Amino acid sequence: MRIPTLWEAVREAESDPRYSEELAHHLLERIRSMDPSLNSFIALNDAAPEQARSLAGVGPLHGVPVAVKDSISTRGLETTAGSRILRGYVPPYDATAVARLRSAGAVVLGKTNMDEFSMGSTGENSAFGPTRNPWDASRVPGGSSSGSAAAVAAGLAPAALGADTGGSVRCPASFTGTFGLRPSYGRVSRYGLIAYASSMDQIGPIARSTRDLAIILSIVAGRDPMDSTSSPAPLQDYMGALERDVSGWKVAVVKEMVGPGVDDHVQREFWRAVDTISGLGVDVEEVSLRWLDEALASYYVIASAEASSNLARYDGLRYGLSPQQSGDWRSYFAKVRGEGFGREVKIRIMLGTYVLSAGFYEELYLKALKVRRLVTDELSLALKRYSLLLSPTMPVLPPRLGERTADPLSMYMMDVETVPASLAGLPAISVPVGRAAGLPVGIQLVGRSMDEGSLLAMSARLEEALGGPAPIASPRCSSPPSKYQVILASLHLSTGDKRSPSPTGIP
Amino acid sequence: MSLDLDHLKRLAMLELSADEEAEVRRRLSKILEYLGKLRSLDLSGVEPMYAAGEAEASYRPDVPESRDPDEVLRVVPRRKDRYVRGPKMA
Repeated sequence: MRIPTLWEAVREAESDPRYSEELAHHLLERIRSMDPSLNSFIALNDAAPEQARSLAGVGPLHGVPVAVKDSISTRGLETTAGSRILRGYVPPYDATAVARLRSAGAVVLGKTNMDEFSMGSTGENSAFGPTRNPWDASRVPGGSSSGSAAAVAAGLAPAALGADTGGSVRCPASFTGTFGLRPSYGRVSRYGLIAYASSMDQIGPIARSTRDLAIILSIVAGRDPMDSTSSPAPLQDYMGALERDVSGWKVAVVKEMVGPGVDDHVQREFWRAVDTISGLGVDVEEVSLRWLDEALASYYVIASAEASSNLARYDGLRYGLSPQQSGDWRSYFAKVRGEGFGREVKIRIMLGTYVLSAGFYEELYLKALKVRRLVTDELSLALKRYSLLLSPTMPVLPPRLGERTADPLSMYMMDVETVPASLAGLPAISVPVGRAAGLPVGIQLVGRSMDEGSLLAMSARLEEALGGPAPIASPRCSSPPSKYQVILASLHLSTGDKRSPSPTGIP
Repeated sequence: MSLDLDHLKRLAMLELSADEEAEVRRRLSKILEYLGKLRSLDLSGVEPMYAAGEAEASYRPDVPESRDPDEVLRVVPRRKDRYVRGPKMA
């Protein structure tokens, strides 16, 4: 069976009431045979084919299956956010984004692997073991929505929901050659999204074409009474945006985002894409931003501060991990949290606790919030003159496993292109524009608040000019896993951390 | 920057093994050194920005949801009837 894009699947399903069931069945088989080497799913919905059959007449999606990041609550399907501390937690309710997809006729195929509580840019910080890049299994797929991007790139799901705080949709989209959209803050309800940094978290789609992103955004976007930060701003016609002409638009390349520190391969592919955009009749200029360097520091202070507060709820009493109770409340909580959280999560909780503690609040946390204001003002000013701002999505090609996690700063630095839009709450998209040394490269477009339409329009024109939807990954066979990779893989097997997919039906 | 890990562990209610503690100290020191670049900035007069969007608070009607309490309580690992069982108070 040919692996369709979401749009193709929906069209097939409209005319053939058995199509979605067959597709769901085929994808589950494909996941069982291919995913052991990728580790993109951590729970599968074995009832997906049956559910697809019952939704055959329900539009607009007609039972077509989609994958969902494991930080997004799914009723009846285990939801762990990639953490040991939530093991065994089966939410009694759906996140609004999931509920809206289901009402639109979608079936949840399974839950995708991720950096624990979205804390990571490589997909390696998961209690269920690292996800691998389908283009080259010795490399990371990017994070934190690692499994969503890897699954879409490998043709294990037509599309997926991810969530983006500092780049968690855009980074893995770029590293896997897929399209990823971070909507404006407030455009999609966060109800049911397990919180990392609430002032920046946004749910967004990952797919192999711009049209697929538009389909999902049209369904999940909009005000939700269950999330008071969801925006009442009117929705745009996202499907209509796909047909818009972009000639005559004025856009700008952010100078500091293509300069030193950006890999030569990435620069080459980026400028080639910029040429393509110019060829569409777009006026491309250059803009300089002063506060980018401080933006990264600001992001890590703010995100960690919010995380330390959000993760205070994990107490081993109400859900998830619950070891034998002994000692008093304090020692029990400290023990559960010590056992349940992974290393990167512990570091960010400690960092967040530090910057919020007496003596450091003003010189670090408040300073970070002020930098956030400056970054936002600067971006808003640039976006008054230009419809979109352009940069590479990631400054590097996908690193090898282990290459970036040994030194925390070297991983944080990878987020330098993606965090400014997060701080400012602006929408941003990563569009796959080519490959260097066989590895995907993405370009990032940042737009005005609540103007996802312009991002989709430019992405659609670029996609068209580059030959249509992204291909399914074909692994490079030239680089067998190193000795280190083999050791790493065996460690994950021997620790018993990788579960077999849990066959949980949805009530 | 001074780093009193014991104090932070108490505030964060987080137990760390001896190995972990050394690792966390090493990494945290490095991160804090990097974040130090924020300290030297003179940002007086700049308003801190807590959230993007600046959405005004809005409330939904205070109507109880019809959700089966037993279904919700099923996620609680240790309970007695409809009570959550916790460790002893100190």
